[in-house]
Amino acid sequence: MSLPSHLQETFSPEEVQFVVENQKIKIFPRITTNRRRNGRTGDASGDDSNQWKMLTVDGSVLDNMVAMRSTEVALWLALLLKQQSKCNIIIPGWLTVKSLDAMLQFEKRNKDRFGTLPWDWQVLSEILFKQAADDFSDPIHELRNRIQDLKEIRQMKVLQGLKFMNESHLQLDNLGLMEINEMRPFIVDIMDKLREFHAAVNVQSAVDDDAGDEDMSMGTGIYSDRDISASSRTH
Amino acid sequence: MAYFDLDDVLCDGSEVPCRFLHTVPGLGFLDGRPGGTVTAGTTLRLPLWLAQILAVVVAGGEGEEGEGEGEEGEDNTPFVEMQVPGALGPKVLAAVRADPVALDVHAVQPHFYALALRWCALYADQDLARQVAGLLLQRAQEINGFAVAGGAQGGNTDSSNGASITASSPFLATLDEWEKGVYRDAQRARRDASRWGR
Repeated sequence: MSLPSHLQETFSPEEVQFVVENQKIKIFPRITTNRRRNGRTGDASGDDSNQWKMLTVDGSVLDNMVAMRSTEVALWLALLLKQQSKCNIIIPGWLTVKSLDAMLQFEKRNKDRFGTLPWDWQVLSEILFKQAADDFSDPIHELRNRIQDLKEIRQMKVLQGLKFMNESHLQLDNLGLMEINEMRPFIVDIMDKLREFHAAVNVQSAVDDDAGDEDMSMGTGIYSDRDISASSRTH
Repeated sequence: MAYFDLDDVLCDGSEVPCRFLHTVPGLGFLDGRPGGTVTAGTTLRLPLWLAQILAVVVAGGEGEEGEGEGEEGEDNTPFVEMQVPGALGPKVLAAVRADPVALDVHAVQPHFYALALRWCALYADQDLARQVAGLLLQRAQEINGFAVAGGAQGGNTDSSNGASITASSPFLATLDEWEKGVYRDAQRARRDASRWGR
């Protein structure tokens, strides 16, 4: 491919956002699109002109919305509906002052572990702050401060953790995709070099160098954290 | 270690002191005496790609008339014996032990890690590999610190900030060529991330 290498090796933040926007989120629709229900309420607007047609996604959820009955749609769709004031987004449970405070406490208490935030916490909170500000029950600036604090305290821990990098293994439990993505080029470069040094002096075990390289690189944590991001994208 | 990797090619060209084990006629140009003879025991600086071959190829096995006349008895010694290059010598390693961050790696050898890696691979030098890996890890923390700082700053001005930070910090001037690449990549990722947030 002719993409510059930094776009080939890692995601850009915009790509991460794109991935996150495909996550499901719960909304309260403000409109009713369910045809049967429309019919029952008296109005006979059951003709096809009212139905939404979607080329790229299954439109069944959209066609069965009932006002104020929660339903689950992709985030990008929720944001579109939100812009047209056709729905309210239900803010996920962890994105409240109370649970963020609890999370901050956890982060401060445990110097060597990360709290269990969802993998898309950074991106999701940023998007919701910007585009669904009126759906929050807590004041936005307080939430924003706490997110910022979390980001910094976790960053500090990552820096501490990087002192113990080795050629074969790096555990990144509970880190968000954005956090991992931010440091991926650095970690990949360093660990690859460490691995090269390790492989250079330990050739006795692997006679043909290439096969040995391949085996070792498959065991590195970098590949496994790619797997984490890949698997969390699918559910 | 790609075939077209320029840094790899440049590393190949770095000089290694070699002691000739055989008298070779006609190679005097290496020593600044065209047409002369290089006598056994002379120490010359040869590029790594040449030295590497000559240190492996056995002189007697080639069957050419030139080599045999030096020492008839030692048929299976190679042409030259490589000596530890200055960049990996005891002086530098002492500096590595003393303070990895303060060491001016670029002044020692612009392709320090590549050269060290070659050396480790050639001689399976566990001790050297361990020391260099330790050096790398410690300097990596520092590089990452600068990348984070540079990335946070670089949100607004992108093209010029790399240069200004390099000028402002003496540490970044000591980076080896590979480390520079790491710094560039890390800083770009940080900068993109911090720019996305605003």
